[in-house]
Amino acid sequence: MNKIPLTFILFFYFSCFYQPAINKNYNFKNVNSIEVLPIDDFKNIIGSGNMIETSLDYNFLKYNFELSDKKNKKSILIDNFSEQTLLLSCVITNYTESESLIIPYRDENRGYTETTVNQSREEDEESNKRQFLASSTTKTYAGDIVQGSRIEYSQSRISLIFTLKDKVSGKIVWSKSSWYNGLDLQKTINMCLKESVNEIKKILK
Amino acid sequence: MKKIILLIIISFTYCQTNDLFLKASLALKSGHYNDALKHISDSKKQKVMNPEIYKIEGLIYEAINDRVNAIIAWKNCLKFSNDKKLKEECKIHLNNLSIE
Repeated sequence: MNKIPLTFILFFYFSCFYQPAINKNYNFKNVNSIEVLPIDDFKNIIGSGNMIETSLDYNFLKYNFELSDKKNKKSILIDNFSEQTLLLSCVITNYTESESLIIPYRDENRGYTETTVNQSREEDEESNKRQFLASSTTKTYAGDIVQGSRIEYSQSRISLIFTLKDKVSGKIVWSKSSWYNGLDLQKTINMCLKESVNEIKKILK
Repeated sequence: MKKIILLIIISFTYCQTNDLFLKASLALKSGHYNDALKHISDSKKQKVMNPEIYKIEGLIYEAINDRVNAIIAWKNCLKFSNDKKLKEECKIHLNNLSIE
């Protein structure tokens, strides 16, 4: 029973994470097509732009979009009778094919503090007064870190920024940044694009 | 005598963990993800609670298209991590894995 509100909170939390920036005054329901602009390679990595473009096609098709490629002009066709056209641009901000990572295994002992309190009662015979004596001893034991073995692995990392611009007015109406990491480059690209394509699908609905 | 036996048991467990991590690293490097998962799973039996281990587990499950176990691994990573960057990474992966 308690799992239902927890699931709802988690869903709400994750759905708000890395939200795109959106022009709320723009009517996305009148969009007829989205022209996909060519994606430039990241720095000196030849073919990186092409790889993202191809994966982008795959993701749009996977989300049931209709694609056309006439005269080297790639477009996503949306089934409605209006004439608004958007331009989709993508900038690769990080394209790491493989980076080595080392995870050291550490066992941390944080140490502890031991305090001993001694209390005694004494009676002064001359003044006939009672006295309480208290003393405390504090010992601090330092902790230590035992460095053990380590796991070595390599991962890919991709970061992208998508922008949608109205073709006639030139207004930027939507923008989203996303990044992803994974063991396999192709899978990492797909997962990174999946989120953005899903967001585009949401605004066009 | 008891202390010596305890010391032997501790060093045996410690050496075994080292060995498992080494095996997992080699399996990861050669792309044998299922073998790497087995070694990581064995290291967890020895109460190794490192969030990074769950991160690798999550990455492996994603690589072999096991979405359900990947979500479990990333949730565990989020639970045990105190690192802000790692937590953010967990949230990004969980968010993407929740998309159908």
